[in-house]
Amino acid sequence: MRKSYLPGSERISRRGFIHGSAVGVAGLGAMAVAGCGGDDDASSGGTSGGPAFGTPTAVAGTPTVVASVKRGGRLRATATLGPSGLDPQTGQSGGDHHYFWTMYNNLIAYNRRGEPDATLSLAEKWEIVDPTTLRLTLRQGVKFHDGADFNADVVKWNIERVLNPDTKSSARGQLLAITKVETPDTKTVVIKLDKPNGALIVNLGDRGGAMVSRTAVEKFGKDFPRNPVGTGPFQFDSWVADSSVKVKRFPGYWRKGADNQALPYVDEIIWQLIPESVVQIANLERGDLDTVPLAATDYDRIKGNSKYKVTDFAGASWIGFYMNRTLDPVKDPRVREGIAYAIDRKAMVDAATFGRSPIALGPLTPAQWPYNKDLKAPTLDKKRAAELFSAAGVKTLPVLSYPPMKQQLELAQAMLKDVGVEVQPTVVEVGTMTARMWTTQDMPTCLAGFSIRADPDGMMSELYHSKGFYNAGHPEHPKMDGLVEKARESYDLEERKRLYNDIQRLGLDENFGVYFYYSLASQASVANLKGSENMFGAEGKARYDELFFG
Amino acid sequence: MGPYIARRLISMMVVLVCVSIAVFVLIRMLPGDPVVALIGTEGSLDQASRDAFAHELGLDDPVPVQYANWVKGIVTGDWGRSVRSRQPVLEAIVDRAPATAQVQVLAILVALSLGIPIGVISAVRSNTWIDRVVSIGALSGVAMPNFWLALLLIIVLSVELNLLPPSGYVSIFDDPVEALRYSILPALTGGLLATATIMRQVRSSMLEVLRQDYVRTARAKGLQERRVVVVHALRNALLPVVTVIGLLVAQLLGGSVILESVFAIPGMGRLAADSIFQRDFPMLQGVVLVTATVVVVMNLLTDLAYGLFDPRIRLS
Repeated sequence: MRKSYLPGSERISRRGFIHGSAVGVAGLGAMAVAGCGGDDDASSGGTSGGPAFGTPTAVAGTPTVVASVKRGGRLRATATLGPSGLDPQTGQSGGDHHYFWTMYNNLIAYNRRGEPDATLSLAEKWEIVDPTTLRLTLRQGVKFHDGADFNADVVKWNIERVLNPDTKSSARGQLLAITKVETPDTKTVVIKLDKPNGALIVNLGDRGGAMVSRTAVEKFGKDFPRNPVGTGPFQFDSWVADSSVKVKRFPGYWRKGADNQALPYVDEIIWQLIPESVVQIANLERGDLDTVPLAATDYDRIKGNSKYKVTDFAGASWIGFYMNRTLDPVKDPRVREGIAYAIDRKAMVDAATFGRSPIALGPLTPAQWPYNKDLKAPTLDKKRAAELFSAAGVKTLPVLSYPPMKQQLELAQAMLKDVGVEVQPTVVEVGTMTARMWTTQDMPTCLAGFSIRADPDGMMSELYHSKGFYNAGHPEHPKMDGLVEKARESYDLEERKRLYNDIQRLGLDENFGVYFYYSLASQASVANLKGSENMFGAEGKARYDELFFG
Repeated sequence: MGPYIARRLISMMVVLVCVSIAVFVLIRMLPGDPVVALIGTEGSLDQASRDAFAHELGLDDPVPVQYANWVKGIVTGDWGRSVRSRQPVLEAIVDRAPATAQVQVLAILVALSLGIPIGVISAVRSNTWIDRVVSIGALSGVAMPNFWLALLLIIVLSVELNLLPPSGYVSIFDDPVEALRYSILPALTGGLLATATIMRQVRSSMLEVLRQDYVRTARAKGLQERRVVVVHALRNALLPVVTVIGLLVAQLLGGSVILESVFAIPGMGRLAADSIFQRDFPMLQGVVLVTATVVVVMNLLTDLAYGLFDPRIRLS
């Protein structure tokens, strides 16, 4: 049996390892891919078994560290944007997740380390029968908020719904490897793939694996995104567009908290939708809100006040230059290299984030398991940059960007001017930027951010593969394509880590992009809101089911 | 009057048709594939789903066909659905319009109740220190960006003095007292800026009227100065102010985009801004059409109001 197949499995616990071995014999060359806490975990909701892949730690879904909890109360949160829709399979905004994860569960969910975790999942165990067959055993007794049963037929219907182009699911791309779903009995689902796909299991923890109620979809039709029904800890109450979203405790939730009672701890959550950060903080300081995103400008003031506590999450996205390597002047590798040497990343971090963000080494961030802190990224070398630009005969550089990047653009403009290159900026709103850089593809560079995806393949396939949407110009690069495909298809964690290191190394050598820093998201909460230190998930999005007022 | 209104209504329809064509064409002139633009930074729709989206939006039809379908929908009450939230457009507009109306009506009341008296005082005391102080205040008001004034009011009245909630909205039909508390800050922000415009208009037209012969005659008759100013001069001076109020409605509706974002009010302005940034075509088309209709109707009402203030004016 191979040592490990998925993120975190190198830390597999003895108990999880033994159980994994047991399911691993379920077929010729069978490979256990997930630690399953065992049937007792399924019934106890993870209070006794700890995380699927390691020793119990303070990870979302492992509330064993909490000595005593209090129940009840209303959590008053805020968000800049309302949801684009509350159907996880069709929503289109990266800001939707913290809403829909209160109402839905995933077939296979991942924990705060990004590891698939059976204690959080609707599948209580899963196994790779062969490289193109995945068998899931479903948790029993789970109900949707509308009373409908969660079973294998519903799972099959959900996956087929995502894969149906008419659904217009933004998660379809994550599940495209699936060719067939079989349901031998009500608690077993067999997923057939066209080729091996190591990313699929983690991707089932994102939009595509979030299970929606079939009866509710059939009842509400096009209005389902405004009448969401899942199996999650909270059920939908109301959504007043641009005003508020409210969910209330679902008494029949299957996961249990530290007190062995069903989660969640708070009775309801209401998000006030407030676009302005200054106004969000004003509401917190007046006592009208319990938890708010914290802007860099208010960070020190709020952090220094004992009435609040601040939680940071480094690496939810990177900020830097995208390149269209088919267009002048960045078609010339010397120009891309020159840009990489011209950017003073430390000065950028100091000016744009008050020195708090980590300097970027590559596209994969410290929040992701393949992150390699020893990756050697280019550093400031003005002389070398000037030589490279001079050799390439380049004096100007058109750069596309959008308003939130204004400061970073101005800094990059000054840094490039320092080495003799005049930036010609074009600042447009995000929709036009996306269209110009990646559809009409008429701009050589774009200064913007990129949010991390659940599995690194979701990033590297899009950014570096020649068919990737965010690889503008789609320049052919068989070596890179081969590496990205191999990393996607592998079930071996160590091999994937090595491959993602090679991919980043190659990307940096040829300057597929130039990366400045990793974003730092911060959340300020009232001091008596317990559990907020663990509220960020592996991808930097908030979870609320284990928060309580102490 | 009747034929005049009929003619105005016809020309109003022409304007609205032009507006509808303009918004329809402009939104389609934005660069790139609108479906990709609509996806924004999520960007994870595959090609098959994009095609399905384009088909649902009718983007695979020729533009004239798309326009005809949209107009047909408008007439039959099917304004389409938001491509983001899937909410019917008409329903969203009906939901949002009361919030905008509540705040804007209050803002206009603030502007009138402050702008007219201050303008009158400034005219009556022209070239005194009072006039100068008021003029400087008015200029500051005109020059001040409304988002800055909004944040200033929030910090002072809400955070420091803890008098009013910094954001949110309560309908006047649900709880009139709370509705007023929540509406004061946005109404003050919009109203104070409009006050400056009204005050300056009142001042200049009052100065002109106060120099008229009939005012001198009124004074010569021995009428009290207050009566001369309020009854004789102000009524005639208000005519240009009515025009300004008509224009202010359009200005305030434009300003509501920022105001509603700062104060987190679920109104038409925020809906318009969100629709633009999210490329929500059906929603944006609906919002612009309704806003244009309100502005055109306000212009008509303004013209009709002239007759009320000055009986010599006959609309024909």
